[in-house]
Amino acid sequence: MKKIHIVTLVLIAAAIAYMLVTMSKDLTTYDTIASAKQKQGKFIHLIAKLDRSKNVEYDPVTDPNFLAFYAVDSLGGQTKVIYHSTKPPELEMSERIVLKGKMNGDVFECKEILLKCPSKYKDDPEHQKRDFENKMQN
Amino acid sequence: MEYQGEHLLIGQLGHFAAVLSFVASIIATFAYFKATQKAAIAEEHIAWKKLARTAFIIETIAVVSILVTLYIIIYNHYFEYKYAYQHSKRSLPVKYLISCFWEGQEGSFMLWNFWHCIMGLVVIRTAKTWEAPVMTVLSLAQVFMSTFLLGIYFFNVKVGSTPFMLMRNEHAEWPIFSNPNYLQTRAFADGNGLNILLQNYWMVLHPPIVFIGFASSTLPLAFAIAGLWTKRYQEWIKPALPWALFNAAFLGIGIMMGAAWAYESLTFGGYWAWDPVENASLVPWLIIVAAVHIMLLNKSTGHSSKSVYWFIFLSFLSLIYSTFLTRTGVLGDTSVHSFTGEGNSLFWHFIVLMSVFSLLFFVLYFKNSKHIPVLKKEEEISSREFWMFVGALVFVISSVYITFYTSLPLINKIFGTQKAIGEDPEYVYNRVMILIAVVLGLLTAVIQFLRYKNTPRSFWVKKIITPTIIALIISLLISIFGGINYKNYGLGYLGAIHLAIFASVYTIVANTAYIWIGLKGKFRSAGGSIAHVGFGLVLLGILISSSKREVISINRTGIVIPGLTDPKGRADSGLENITLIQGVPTPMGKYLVTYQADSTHPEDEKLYFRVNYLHKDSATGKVLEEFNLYPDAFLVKGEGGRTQLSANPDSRHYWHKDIFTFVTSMPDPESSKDTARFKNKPVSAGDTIFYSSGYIVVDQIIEANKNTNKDLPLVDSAWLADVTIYANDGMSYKAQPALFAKDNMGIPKRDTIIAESIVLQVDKTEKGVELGVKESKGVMKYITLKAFQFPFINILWIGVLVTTFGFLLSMWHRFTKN
Repeated sequence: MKKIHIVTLVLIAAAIAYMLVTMSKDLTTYDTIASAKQKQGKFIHLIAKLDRSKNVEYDPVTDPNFLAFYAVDSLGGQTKVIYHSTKPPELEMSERIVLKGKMNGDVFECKEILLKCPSKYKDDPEHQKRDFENKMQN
Repeated sequence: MEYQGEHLLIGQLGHFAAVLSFVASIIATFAYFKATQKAAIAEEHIAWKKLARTAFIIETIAVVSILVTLYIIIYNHYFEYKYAYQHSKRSLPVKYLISCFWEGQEGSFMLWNFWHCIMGLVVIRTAKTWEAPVMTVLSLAQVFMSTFLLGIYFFNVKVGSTPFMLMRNEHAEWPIFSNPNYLQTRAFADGNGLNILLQNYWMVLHPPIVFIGFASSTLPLAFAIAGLWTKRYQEWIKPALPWALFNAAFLGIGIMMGAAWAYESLTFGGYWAWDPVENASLVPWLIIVAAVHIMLLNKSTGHSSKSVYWFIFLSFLSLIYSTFLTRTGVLGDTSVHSFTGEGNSLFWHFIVLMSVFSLLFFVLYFKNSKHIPVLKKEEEISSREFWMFVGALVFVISSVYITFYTSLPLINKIFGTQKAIGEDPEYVYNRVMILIAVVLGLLTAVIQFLRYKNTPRSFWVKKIITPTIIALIISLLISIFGGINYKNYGLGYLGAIHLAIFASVYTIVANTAYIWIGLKGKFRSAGGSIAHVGFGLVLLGILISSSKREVISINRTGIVIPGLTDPKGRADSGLENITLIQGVPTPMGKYLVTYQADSTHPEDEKLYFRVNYLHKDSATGKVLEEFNLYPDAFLVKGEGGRTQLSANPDSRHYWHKDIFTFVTSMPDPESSKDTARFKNKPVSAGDTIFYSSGYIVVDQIIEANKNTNKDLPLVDSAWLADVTIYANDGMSYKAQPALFAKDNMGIPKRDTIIAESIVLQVDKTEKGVELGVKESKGVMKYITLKAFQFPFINILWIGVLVTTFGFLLSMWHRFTKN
């Protein structure tokens, strides 16, 4: 075997070994609110919706870094969410939210919010329809 | 039914052009295929080639026609067309009408199509004997690209989607289309407009450039396949090399233009966030750069004659795969700006595209692999080719790592798993990339001083010693005096940063030195070294600007949030946003920051905030520096009439740093229109007044005038109320509204309870003292903002320009030498 082949194999083996070792630490799971409550204190991704029947608590004048709201998921789970940063401007319009953080008792302490906003779904026919109906009303 | 006022002809022309380009590309593919097969028979070869060229030129004309017709539709606001309706509106400035092209899927494929055609014409002019086989592959790629724009059903399967779709065909079930005059209705008076994030000058430039990079990645593969096909197993590299360099240059600058756009108009606070869309464009660049190096070493030594095919194939495949990831919506929730899918049809379109090209490559490669000449002799460890191969391999390994983590959503889909990158996605990448940067930096610094075949040790040591010492001194100076002290991830990571700084400085110094020592200042052949210097600058710029990036909008209210920790588990106040109330100077870092005003521009939907930065000498109070930043925000009427905020940052550029400011929140101007009035009620001490969310208890009323109170020299008389506000949420607040009178003029001193949005005033009538309560959402104007300091970010941008220049110089040099 040529030296270059040995080097190649060693490098690839090292890369694979590294990934296998670190992967379990780096990866987390998508959870429902119910399963998240079983995993207290573990960093997870939550797929949920904003609970529109409850108030979104955010007052930037008193504290711009405090947002609290309720999230529900399709399986009927519900939790309070606290996020220590500004309110994403499109929160109220979002159709789905991915919350990254930890469950702490009954409160989900969120570190990052990803929104799936209707504005990003211009090509979605359902959304086009809603947009259109809005336009007719205004 | 006869619909009124539609412009159908232009769309029909456009659609005809799309179909024509599809048919022409099939003819071109077939004719070029025949021309290649009949290469030995001059007469037939020429006849086929003539047909093929004609077909290709017709195709080019058709593609240009698609572009022009679509532009006419957008420019003239023909809202009966879905593309114009969805992506443009009348108030859009002309410069952004071009951006409307690439908001939709079809427009991006159109660009790809267009650049393929232009490059095809260049191949026809320059490639000589390579024309027929190379153009066969390129035309085949074009068959796929043109089908993206077809939108025609083949046996119930919709293939592609046409940009010339009419709204009334797309949404035939909408009741409005029973009205022949639907275009006169309000809903069709204007389009939906362009995504505000795309209304940025970088977004006019970035997509066309990045698609030059995308389109040009087909050519190295086309040459490789042509080499296998015509059994010229090594000769193809020479004409393919300029294309590979061209590809690397444009993909690279295109990606970094995207980064510049992210830096200027996205508010994630930087130019790079390891977002899947970014990763997807970075990976093909990494691989094509690796491939360029393998091509070079093969051309000079004959080594790696087989692996060079794989590097080229991988670069093409990774590019299509990346597009597949970002365009079909499989990434779903993981990306902030991933595109939405056209659904299944696009998904399978890409799968077929990847399979066809993979199959083509595999069949030709394995059929010919035993004929590909392989050098028996082994690479010396002291040779340049040995270490170039290692470097190229490191590039590929890093891209495999990135691809794996980017593909997680797809892996989840295939295996039914629920995995996602955890708490700190950026660190998952950065941790590995910093080591890769160290290795690549060191290799890039020393390899040019090695010779092909083998290098005498004394020769090498003699040449490399001076650059090494200089680089060591410079990087030590940066490490010691640069204040790089990024400890968020512990000392190991900080050590890696300093090592990487050395490696990048070493790259810069060694390659600059090589231009004189190795090349004797021959500028024409210095393209490689210049690109290396640029690469070193890019690394250095990234390292310094990221590790010294500083949030200066720390909210110093002193509240530490319990339970909030940084990625390493230490307590983190996390208060990175600061609220500025209009007219109230607020300290932020060394600056005193004031939100002074906001303004709109009649032709612009943006709201510009004037934020004044003042830096005073703390001892003397002398103003050292003062400037205004104008971060802006878009107010978009969204669903249900709610307004939403979309902000663009503004930066103060210094030669050595940027101060980067963006608005993270502001009150809804609809609700802040102050229409509320004061409701006055006569009160005396002990009275209670109710308001919508609580009640107010009057603790005492003080009346004073000049005669009874000598402490009132400025006014004639005064009425003061001491009140306590009990809000329904259990909070209570104290307030002291007052009224002063001087020369029979009332001077009210109102008191505001911001948290409860109420304003209190005192009034005096014949009946006695009255307390007035105004409940108003528009109590005050404020914005919440975030500010970063990016030191030495210009090194990064300069590095990008230098790298691109190096690539292009090298390309030109190779091209003219051919």
